Amino acid sequence: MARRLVTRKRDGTFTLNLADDEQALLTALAEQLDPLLDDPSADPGLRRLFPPARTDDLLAEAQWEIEQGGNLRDARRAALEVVRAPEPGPLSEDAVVAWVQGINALRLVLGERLEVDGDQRAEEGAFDRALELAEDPDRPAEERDRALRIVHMWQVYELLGAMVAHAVRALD
Amino acid sequence: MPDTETAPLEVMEPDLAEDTDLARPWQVIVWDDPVNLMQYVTWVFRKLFGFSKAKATFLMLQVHNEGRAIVSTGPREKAELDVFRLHEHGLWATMEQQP
Repeated sequence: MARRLVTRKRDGTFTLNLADDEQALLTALAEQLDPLLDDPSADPGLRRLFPPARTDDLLAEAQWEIEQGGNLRDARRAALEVVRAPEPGPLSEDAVVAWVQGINALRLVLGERLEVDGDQRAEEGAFDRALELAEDPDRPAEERDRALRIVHMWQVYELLGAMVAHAVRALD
Repeated sequence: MPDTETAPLEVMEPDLAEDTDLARPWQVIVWDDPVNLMQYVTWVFRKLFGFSKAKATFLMLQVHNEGRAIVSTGPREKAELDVFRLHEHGLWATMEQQP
């Protein structure tokens, strides 16, 4: 991607350089994820957003969830709100940090859904198979639609990764 | 003066095991995960802990190659804050008392 998605200006403020359809996509994703945060335990795809803090002590972990679960949810919501509708004009560093937290949260959920496990070859294979299926005229329409949705999810996953990388480069 | 029977005074013996237990510092561990980008993890370490680029990169690679790395140690309250901030950034972090 030749275009820099996040740039830092001399005065220390930041600009998001997103196309309208990219912002529309982010808005839609943030709006989809937000209501799921009400009950993260209902959706295994959200487990990465609320990881355990104490794997050595079940009671301490339960207490952690009671004490910190709500705070973490509030922080996630605030970050997703910046992703959904960033302030027009220059953004502060804090706003960009919240933005990248929100983008990364969306990417984590998508990664869970796509069962990303760090095996890049397998991931490329999964993408290629879905693309092949989606374009195969001999397959039933329903199957092709399903495959096309998976192709789109991989493309969004890649785009979110580029957004995280560009934000980090601008922030660091 | 009447004799009074004094009840045996219960002395609170300091529980040495527990006292040393409380003094044992906590450590925060970041675990490898297949989704977070390497440059993102490095940036989070720099931002939260003020590490140099070299130290943050070293720890990120340790997480990546060995599956985990200790990123901070200290009193319990500090460990809790560090874990929370790491979770906020989407990293998989846990805390435990140092062995």
